[in-house]
Amino acid sequence: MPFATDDSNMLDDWLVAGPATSLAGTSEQQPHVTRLLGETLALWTDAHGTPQCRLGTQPLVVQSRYGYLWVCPSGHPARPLFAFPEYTEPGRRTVDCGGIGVAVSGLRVIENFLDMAHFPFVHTDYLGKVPHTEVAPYKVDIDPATNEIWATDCRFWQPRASAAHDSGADVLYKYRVMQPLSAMLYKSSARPGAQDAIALFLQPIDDEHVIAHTMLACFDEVSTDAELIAFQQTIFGQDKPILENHAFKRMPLEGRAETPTRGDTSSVTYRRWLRERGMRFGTRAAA
Amino acid sequence: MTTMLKLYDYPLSGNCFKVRQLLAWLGVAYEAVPVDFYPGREHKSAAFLANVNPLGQLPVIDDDGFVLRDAQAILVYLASRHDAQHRWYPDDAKLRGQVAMWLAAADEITRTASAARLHDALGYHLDIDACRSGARAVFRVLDDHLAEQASAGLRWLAAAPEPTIADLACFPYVALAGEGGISLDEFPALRNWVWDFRHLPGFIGMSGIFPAGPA
Amino acid sequence: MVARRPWEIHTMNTDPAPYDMPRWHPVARSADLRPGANIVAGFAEGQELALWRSADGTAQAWDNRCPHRSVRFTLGQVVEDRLACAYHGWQYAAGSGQCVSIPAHPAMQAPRNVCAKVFGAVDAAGMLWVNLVAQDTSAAPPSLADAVPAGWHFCRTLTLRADAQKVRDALAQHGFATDAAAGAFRGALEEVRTIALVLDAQPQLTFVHLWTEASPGSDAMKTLRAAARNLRSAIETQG
Repeated sequence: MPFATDDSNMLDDWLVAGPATSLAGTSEQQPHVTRLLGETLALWTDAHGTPQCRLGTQPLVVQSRYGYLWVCPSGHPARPLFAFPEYTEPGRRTVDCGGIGVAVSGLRVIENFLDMAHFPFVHTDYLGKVPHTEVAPYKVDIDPATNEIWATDCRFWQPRASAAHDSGADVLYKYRVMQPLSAMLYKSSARPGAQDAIALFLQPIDDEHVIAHTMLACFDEVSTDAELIAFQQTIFGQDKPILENHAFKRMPLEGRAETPTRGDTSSVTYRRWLRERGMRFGTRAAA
Repeated sequence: MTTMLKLYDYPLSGNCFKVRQLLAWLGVAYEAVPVDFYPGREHKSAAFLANVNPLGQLPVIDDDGFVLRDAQAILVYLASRHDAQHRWYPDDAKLRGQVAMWLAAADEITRTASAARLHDALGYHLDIDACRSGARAVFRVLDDHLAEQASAGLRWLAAAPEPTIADLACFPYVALAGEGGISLDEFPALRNWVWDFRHLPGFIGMSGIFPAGPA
Repeated sequence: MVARRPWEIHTMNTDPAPYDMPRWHPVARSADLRPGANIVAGFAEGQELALWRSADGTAQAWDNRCPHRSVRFTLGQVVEDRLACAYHGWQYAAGSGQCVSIPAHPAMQAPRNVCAKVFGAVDAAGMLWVNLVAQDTSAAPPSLADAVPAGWHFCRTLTLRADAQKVRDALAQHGFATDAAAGAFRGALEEVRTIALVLDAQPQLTFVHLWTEASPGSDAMKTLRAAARNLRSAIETQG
């Protein structure tokens, strides 16, 4: 196997390889080129409009779902791609917010996505504000049917967008981890009673680099695409220097180098879930 | 009846940040016009090239019909128009010459450090090694300058007691250098200057550069 | 044995042999760290450091890594006598490095085992010295205070893309002699009397802190600055 890892969690799963729009105008002779697990892949649509993928001369299994391309490096996927019912729900807008390169293990990016305690410090005046720093207890479960992680009953104080003074309210969140490198969050929508979905699909370039693809599936009849994308990239851009300044780029799954606390229930569960499935890609051995 | 200044803006652009920050320091209200720089490449669209900026670049301002492109040019205009104390763009001939010299260095920083960041973060295809070594070369010039004039009690790029648009123009892509794979470890004077600039009263920051926050 | 210049301090006979002592690294100029204000990134033999001062001025040199999720402390900020991490705002006390506040749980006492790794740090001769081996600052050798004579002026910190040994060899070739106890090189560049404190920061990265008798603004200081840059070029282009 040529890839940068022999971890079956990567090789036998569907890995995102970019937005489906990157195949516009491609052909076998003029493919779109991207990086995955240390290798360079060529992707194009054939005469029937079916996505194709090749690593050198070796064809790879690829499908287009939810507006993105998914490749299974070994050709033997251990499970089908996760369900995403919100993607086709009538009335929702789906917006690709662009793939952004991040120089850190994808596992740290997912852990950051699941975390609320950093909102008042990293996303000040957007998703949180000092002194409203408390993380109330929430529930984390593994769905036995899908083996996906769900964090529910999450809530966090968010400032009001146009407030000149200290006003805000608790916002309700739900989080879902579908794969080691794919997660979703759900939060209250502009449409009353509904939830917007924000998906994070990480394309693993290697153990210490990903392209983070963020997609919105939301109810919003007011904002332009540029405004929605600007907001998502503003938030992600605030996380980037934190993510790229972990002294260890790879995530330790064992040992005492890093200490969680009570508000880290999601990340404790995520790290245990990774350990139990024998995750090695993007991890750091205990010192 | 004048209309509010419009800024064609993108949150992750350091060049747009320069204008947003000076507008904040000068207390000038403005309307931001979001441009889908990435992934939409709106700044290269036919409509943008025809109506806003034929060079297909951000930022651009439209000040009640007066249209100006280029971050450094916009800083000169805004400071000249709104800064009654002449501290951001001093009148003195020597200082003005120095400011112009460092505004030119800011272009070199954009050409190198900003390009490296576009490569690493947004997948731009360019000669990344040339960008990084070019950035290190101009960063060394800044670091030498700041280190050597510190003993004269000077903390900012021009020989003025307060920061000028020269510092603002050079600041963002130095502060964001890590996102282009350029380490600031070897530039201690530059790192101190970045810290000092971030801690100026009224510093608003941008994604990737934290303002000095409350505890 | 190199012939001593008249201005060299004769402390070598009273200090223990260099290899018996933990190495004290000149990581930064003392004045660069303002009490309760800034955090400066430091480097010594590949170890990354977060350098800062509590409000009372006591120097701190910590492993640049928050024990929560390993994010670098240098992105954070100083809050009086505590260093606050940029990620989740966890605060750590000067001196012990003990975590004293976890904002996600304001009512909870921070767990006792959450602690920043603290190194020994001492101010002497206008420089901040860090010991990577022991936390006990009473072990700092008195000769550190003699590294730079009183009344000398700081020129600048020069950084070279070269190993520390190559830099030391080059200084020796330029006629600099070393006072082994403090690792200070004494000599002259373009006839301007200079003391060079050499810091092995990282592989292929060496800091040289330059002190001189010449006063700021003098022609001699100007000459020294240019000579320092020339020396850097010569060392970096050497095979």
